[in-house]
Amino acid sequence: MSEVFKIFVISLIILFGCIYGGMLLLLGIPEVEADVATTSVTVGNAVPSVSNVVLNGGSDITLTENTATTVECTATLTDNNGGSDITSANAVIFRSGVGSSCTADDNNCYQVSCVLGDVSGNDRNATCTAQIWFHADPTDSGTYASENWDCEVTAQDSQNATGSATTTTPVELNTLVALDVTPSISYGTLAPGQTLDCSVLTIATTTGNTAIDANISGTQMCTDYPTCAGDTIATSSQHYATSSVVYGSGYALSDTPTLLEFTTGKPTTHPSNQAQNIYWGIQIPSGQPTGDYTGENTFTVTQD
Amino acid sequence: MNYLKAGKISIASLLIFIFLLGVWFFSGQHLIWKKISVLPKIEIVRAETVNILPNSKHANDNSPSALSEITADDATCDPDTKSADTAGDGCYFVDKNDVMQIDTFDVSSIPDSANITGVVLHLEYGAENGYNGTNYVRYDNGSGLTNTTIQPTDITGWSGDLTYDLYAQGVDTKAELQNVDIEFTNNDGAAPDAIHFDYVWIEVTYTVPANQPPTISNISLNGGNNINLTENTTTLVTATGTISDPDGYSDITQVIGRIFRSGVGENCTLNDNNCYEVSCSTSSCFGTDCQATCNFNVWFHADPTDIGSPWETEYWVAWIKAVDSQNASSSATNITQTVDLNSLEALEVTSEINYGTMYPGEVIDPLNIVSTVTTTGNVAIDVEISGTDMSSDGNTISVSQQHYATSSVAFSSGYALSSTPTALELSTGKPTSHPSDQFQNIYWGIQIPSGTSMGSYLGQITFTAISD
Repeated sequence: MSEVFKIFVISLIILFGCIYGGMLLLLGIPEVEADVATTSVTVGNAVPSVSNVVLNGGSDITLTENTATTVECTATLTDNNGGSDITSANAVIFRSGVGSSCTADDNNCYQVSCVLGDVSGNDRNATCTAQIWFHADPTDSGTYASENWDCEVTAQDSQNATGSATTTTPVELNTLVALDVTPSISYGTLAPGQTLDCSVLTIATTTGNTAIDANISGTQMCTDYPTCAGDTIATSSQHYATSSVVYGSGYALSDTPTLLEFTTGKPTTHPSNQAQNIYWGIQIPSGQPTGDYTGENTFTVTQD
Repeated sequence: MNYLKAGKISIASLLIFIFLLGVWFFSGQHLIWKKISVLPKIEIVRAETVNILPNSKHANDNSPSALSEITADDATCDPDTKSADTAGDGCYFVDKNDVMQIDTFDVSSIPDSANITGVVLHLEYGAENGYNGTNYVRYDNGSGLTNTTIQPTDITGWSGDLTYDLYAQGVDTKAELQNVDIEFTNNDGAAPDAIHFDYVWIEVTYTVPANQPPTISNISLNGGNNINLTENTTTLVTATGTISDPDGYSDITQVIGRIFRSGVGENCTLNDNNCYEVSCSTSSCFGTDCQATCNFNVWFHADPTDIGSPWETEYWVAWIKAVDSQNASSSATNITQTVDLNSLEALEVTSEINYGTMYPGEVIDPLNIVSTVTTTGNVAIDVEISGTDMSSDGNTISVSQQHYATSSVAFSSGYALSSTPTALELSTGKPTSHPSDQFQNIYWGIQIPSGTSMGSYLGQITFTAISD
């Protein structure tokens, strides 16, 4: 393309541009106006809701003697303002008979704060962990056999609005039959032919959630326990009773478990407030060789 | 062509010829060939005669008589025997050595435009017996006192009406009539004998030319520029012109202006869409001319005449009419101008669309929040609608959550608002009155997405007028 032709084309474009602009100026450009409206909406606070409340994974609760057992209640928290609007949650784990409005009590009503999970849309998981003590009321049998344990989770949002729900499938809290006893019974130093009345104390502490008795049995005492190939003292030489009585009034220990009726009931506190005293005595046979004799007495718990 | 080829008639000469032809054409001179007319003209006038009376004495006048004694033919005195002034006897007493000198005459009854054709002094005198003075009654038309032909003598009784042609002496304008002096000095040489004047006046004959109607020229509408209106209100549009009245600018009593769409003509019925009329003001008056200014408040819905409008073959015209004191009038238009009134695509909308208080997941269904689009220009319009996300403290509701329609339909049937301008067909037309009579309801709804945070959300919707 020659330079002359280029100049011609450019001149032509400029000419038509000027003509067009001139026409617009001459004929007038229609004026166009616009207007603006402000839109507004107030999005109100949605009350959070709770669903899928599950206590202990849906399984019955089994406690641990003389201590607390970790029990979880989980739930899904939902807020239509977004899961992030949920700021906290708490739970009440309770025996159904006392209701979710119960007063905190380690026997039947546990109130705990929950840990919130990550936000997922409008949802947020909550995990509510309670330390259930060994003496919590059982519902599988006994006094509260018609009840069960529930969990109610309450979610709270940024505006302090709350919503709650309770387990749809309650669970049982199992009976725990358990005890602890004094680990040693020391009769001291006795002479052959000497008799010690039932005065050496052992304590059987109820460490479950129900009243108990105990089956008591024992072994002979010997100087080389548990081999017992040498000198021995017969099992029945030891007598016991639930009070301090003369040797002859106590029960002779047997290698066959023998039921001893306790007067204690269900523990309601921790440490356990239910303990049974058992008094022990012994008669050393005449001519018994000298030596340090050791044996083993067994307390097998049984529900009262 | 051979001449061209031979260069005997150059291209330059041809271009000069075309140029001169264009000048001739655009000068309008060619129009005179379209129509040649000669208007016959005749002026009919009527002669008037009026007597003008003295209305002030000159300082030289020392007569004891009041000027009123000389303004009517009502003397009751006996001039032959009267030797002293008597008030109220209709006799103007000029004793020996005294002077009667009238300084001015009352010419208020003579129109300014009067063409004076005759001026005659009239007087009647009497002389006290024994008067032997010799002076004439004199006049002064600015060149000093000059004798008339009237010489009082000792006559018996009254002289009867005596006249002297002042017109012949050059007293022929209204100003001269007003200022001409009439004088008599009593130079009686014997006993002190007086001259008495019953009356002195001037009879004036004049003609008044026929009233000349005013004319209008140089009419301009909006300075010759196209008119741009203002939405939803009026726009000041001015027409100007020069009013001329040969009888003097003070003869112009009224100026009326009109602007109108050419299609309705100057006799249009007043209508804010196409025909406006106002009284005009005058200014810069001098001699026979005044500048007239006519201010029109033109409403936003006045008919457009620009290209693409329903009246694109028409234009707006300014017409000015001038009226004089004799109710003579004439009118003219801005014939040399072609002024269009431009289209104005404009609207106003309800300033706020408030959905109230809603909760996540909630929806306004059917659409029931109403905003009104009012056409505030001079053409039928549609709209382009666009919007923004609504936001509150960093949280947003997507713009598409808002739906709209021209009726209250189900939410799902409405158009989703977009950030891209989207045309919406309106059923309205061109406004013809103010406030605008053309408006369209638009129905709005919103769906609050689940998960939307609490808060007061604000957004914006833009409505842009587009051609229908």
